[in-house]
Amino acid sequence: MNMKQLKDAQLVVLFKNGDAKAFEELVLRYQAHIYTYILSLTKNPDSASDLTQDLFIKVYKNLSKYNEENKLKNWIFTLARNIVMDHFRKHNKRFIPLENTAEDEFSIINILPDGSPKPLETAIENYKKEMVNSAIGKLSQDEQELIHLKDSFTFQEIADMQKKPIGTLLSKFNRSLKKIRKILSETAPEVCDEYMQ
Amino acid sequence: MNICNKLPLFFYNEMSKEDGEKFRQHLKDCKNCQCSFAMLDFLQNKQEVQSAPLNVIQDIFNKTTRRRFFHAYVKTWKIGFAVAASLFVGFFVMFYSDEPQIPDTYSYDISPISYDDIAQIDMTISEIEYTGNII
Repeated sequence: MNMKQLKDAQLVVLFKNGDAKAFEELVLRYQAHIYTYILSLTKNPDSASDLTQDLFIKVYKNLSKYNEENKLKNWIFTLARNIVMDHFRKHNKRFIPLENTAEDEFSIINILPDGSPKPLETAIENYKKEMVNSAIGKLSQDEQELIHLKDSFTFQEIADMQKKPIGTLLSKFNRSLKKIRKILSETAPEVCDEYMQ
Repeated sequence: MNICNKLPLFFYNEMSKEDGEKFRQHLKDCKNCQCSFAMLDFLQNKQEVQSAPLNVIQDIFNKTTRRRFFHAYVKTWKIGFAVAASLFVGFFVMFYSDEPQIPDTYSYDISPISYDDIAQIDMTISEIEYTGNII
């Protein structure tokens, strides 16, 4: 049976029937989105790795109690958010530093993968991605969270998850877009010009 | 809600068909929305979803689905083999070894002494008791 073709709810049923591979498929399916989401909140790759691991262990322990009628993705992301908030509480950290670390700085060596067929294009593309991610990193924590959640959810799903009106989320999203545009026009006007073409 | 605020819903195709059509008309005339649309399109292509490091995924598996408990380390055939070997050694010792040796401390000496010798000793003791002299 090809696990990749199964829906989340089917994987949960298989897991409950003792199929460990079903859980592994869930991990592979969500790890990247979860890791990116946690990284966007913590800004620390080591913490993001640890918390991602903690999250999936928690999911494993509680999956048998999971009600299939709910959406698994929502449940996993809600758990992820709670784990990050607990982490902040433990470390007495309320605000995420907005300044980029030295590692975030643009470096041709860092962004140029070995053996790249078109090194210059790849480097430019990576630079743009870096600039966009840096601009997103300068938004408030709530705004960043919304931008990253949007990768995995519809607005309605986010509204249900956060128990907020969809209008509030849309306003926040539009506000974030304007901020990103402003930040890009100040820090990387060449990148900003590209989307206007 | 201001119609411009609905742009993300249009962009991510989360509008009803009817609303989508209305918004498409609005988009043709609204410069602000056109600009935001272009920005969203740009952002979507530039944003990256990062995979967790491989060792993290491996650790998750090792601590959940591939976690090995003690009994999992000792395979069943190994336990069977150990039991069979113990029984074999036990039977071998029982049937083929020499007679068990009683330790010296628990043994007592039964000397081949005759009744005459015993009578002689008794007499000697009686004599000592009677005379008080040790011969």
